Amino acid sequence: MMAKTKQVYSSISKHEKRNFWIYISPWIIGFLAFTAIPFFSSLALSFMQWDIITPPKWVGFDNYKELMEDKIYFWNALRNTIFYALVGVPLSVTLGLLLSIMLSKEIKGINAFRIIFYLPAVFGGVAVLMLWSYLLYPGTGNGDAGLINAALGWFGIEGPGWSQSEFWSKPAVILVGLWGVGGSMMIWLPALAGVPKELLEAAEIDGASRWRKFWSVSFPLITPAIFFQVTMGIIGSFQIFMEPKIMPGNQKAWTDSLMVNLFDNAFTFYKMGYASAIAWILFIMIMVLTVINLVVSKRWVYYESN
Amino acid sequence: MMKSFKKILTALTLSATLLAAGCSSDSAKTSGSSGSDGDKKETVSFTYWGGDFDKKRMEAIRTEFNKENPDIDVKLIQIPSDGYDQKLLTSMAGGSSYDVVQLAEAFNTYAGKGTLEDLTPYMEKDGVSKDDYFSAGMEAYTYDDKVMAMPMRLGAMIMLYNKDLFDKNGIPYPTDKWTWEDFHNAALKITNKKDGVFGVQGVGTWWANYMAYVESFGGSLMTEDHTKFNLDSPESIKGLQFMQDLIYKDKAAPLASDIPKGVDLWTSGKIGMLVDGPWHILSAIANIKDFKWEVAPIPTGEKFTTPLFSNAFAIPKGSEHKDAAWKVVKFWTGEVGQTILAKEGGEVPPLKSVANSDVYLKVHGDAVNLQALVTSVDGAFVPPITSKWGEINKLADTYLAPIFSENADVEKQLKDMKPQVDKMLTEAQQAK
Repeated sequence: MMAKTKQVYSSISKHEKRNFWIYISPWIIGFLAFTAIPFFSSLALSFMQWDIITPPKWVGFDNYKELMEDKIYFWNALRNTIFYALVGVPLSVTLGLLLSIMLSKEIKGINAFRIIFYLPAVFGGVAVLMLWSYLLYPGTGNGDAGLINAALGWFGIEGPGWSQSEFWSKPAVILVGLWGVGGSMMIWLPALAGVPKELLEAAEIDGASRWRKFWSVSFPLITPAIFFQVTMGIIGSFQIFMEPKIMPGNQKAWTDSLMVNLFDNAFTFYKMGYASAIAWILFIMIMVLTVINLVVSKRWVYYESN
Repeated sequence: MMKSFKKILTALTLSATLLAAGCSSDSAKTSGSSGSDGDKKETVSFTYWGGDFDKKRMEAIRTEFNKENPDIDVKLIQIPSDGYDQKLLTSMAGGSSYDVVQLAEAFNTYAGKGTLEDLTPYMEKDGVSKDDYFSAGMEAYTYDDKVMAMPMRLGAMIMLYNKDLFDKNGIPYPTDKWTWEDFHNAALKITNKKDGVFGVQGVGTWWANYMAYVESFGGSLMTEDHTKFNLDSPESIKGLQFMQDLIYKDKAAPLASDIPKGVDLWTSGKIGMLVDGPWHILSAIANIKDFKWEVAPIPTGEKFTTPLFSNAFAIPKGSEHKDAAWKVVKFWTGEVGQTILAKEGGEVPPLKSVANSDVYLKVHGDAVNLQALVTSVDGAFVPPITSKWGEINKLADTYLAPIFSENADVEKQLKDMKPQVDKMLTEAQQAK
């Protein structure tokens, strides 16, 4: 009796085991082929010189040394990238939150507004960036200006040169990114909805102003969402690629990001090893920043569970 | 952003696996297909870049080829121009599955790595003479005195001019004898700020743009042996200064910000003289209805010369159908193939006899002076392409852009640029 049960059990388990591996194989294969292998081969490549045609050659830390000495492209791209993170992330987090607070009000037709502000997150990519570069075209003012400068012109404001000016080309890149800020509603709205109504009502009865209610009641309760947005925002802005690639400044050095630099080295100059080294430096920087973020978060992020 | 990052990593691995596959499969390669033993049809795979226009041409030539060579099956593989270099590179790294490939600027890299078949013996065997082709066209694809690709289409920087604007200002039309001074005078007269009309367009950091002026003034980007930067020589500086003055001193050429986005100043009749590539000819025939225009060679400075554009067909060393592949290359770049190209009336056929025949010169009747293009190709220089071409172009863009868009001091920019380019050139030499 015992023996029989055991036999049945083990045959089922064998069968299940096999099925388990069959069912999970697409993900395992996908993970190996598209994540694990590229990950480790790029690490190995970062210590090699490889132009794709000739076999890779081991060069030790040469790629990294060369990077550190590359003032015109690498350091410049790093500076630009840090600018995008420092200016872009606070802006997009603040704007996203403000927008979501407005869109969290229960008024008539609110869903229509939500859809409208969410739409930019649906249409994305190169085509939209091309449109933006038309909109932001500087022009000389006499009918040749881009739409935005022309509109500014109606109010007597002389629009800046955007991508044609060293000062405005980076803000232009950030501005275009902000267009899709409505997408962050997906995180903000549930977080705001999660703030208990009783608490807000209690505060109101105590005579708290709107601002007080937000700052002392809502804000602490949504700090996890803020933390999430800041972290993802930093990661995203370190990997910024499409915007500076599609609508670069008149001099590309004004807008090039680390990812653009990486792309150029890999697919224009075919310096795969060098490009991999950039990827790894980028990875380490993002890693360090994320860890710092996590550590600091303990001081200001409030989880209901603790 | 995450997506593009992933894409790049994916591409990295894909190429890594391709390389690995290429290394291991050499012996087991079955490549091509010779069909059943009964019919001895040999398949030649032939890859090229371009759009519908190119496809039509390639297929037309293949139809003629099949008539003469029923035993060879040419498999044409069209790749969009944008991804062509990457695609070819991965396939070459994998031991190349193609028998004939189209090449342009990447030629030196492939030839330098010893991945291309030397065509000289084939030419000697079949009596194909170098002298029948424009010398710049052959020179561009000769590496270590060996011809490693046969030119298919040639072009050169030319000058298109708006006849109406010349008439309006009472300036005689440009001739083959025109100097840069004539050009300068005409540019000043044509420029009319009130109407938004500029004398010249085509002053910029694109290699063919600045080299057109610099080489004609007797300068060059690098020394002839490709070892040293030469853009800071007095002649080169004169050329660059001439360009900068056209923009800032004479205000005869538009700044980037003077050109409204999405507006082509030339086709809208706001440009007197356009210094640019020959592709503008077909575009002008199709798009310009409001004014009369014509083609001329660019003006002469210290000498007459102009940058050459070209592309060619080569046979990778990995091909297993080399004899058949040579027949294909020979046919495409030979008289029949070239005549089909000539009838398009755009780029210049590299075969002199075809280029100088009425088939080409009279294809648009008397509407366009194609002789100007042939003259340009005949006197053209081959751009100094090294294995670092992409990187040097990026340096040029970085350092020359301030000259043309911010009125930066020419000599200072070149002083900063010199060590960077010299470093690249040394690396290119070492890589050889």
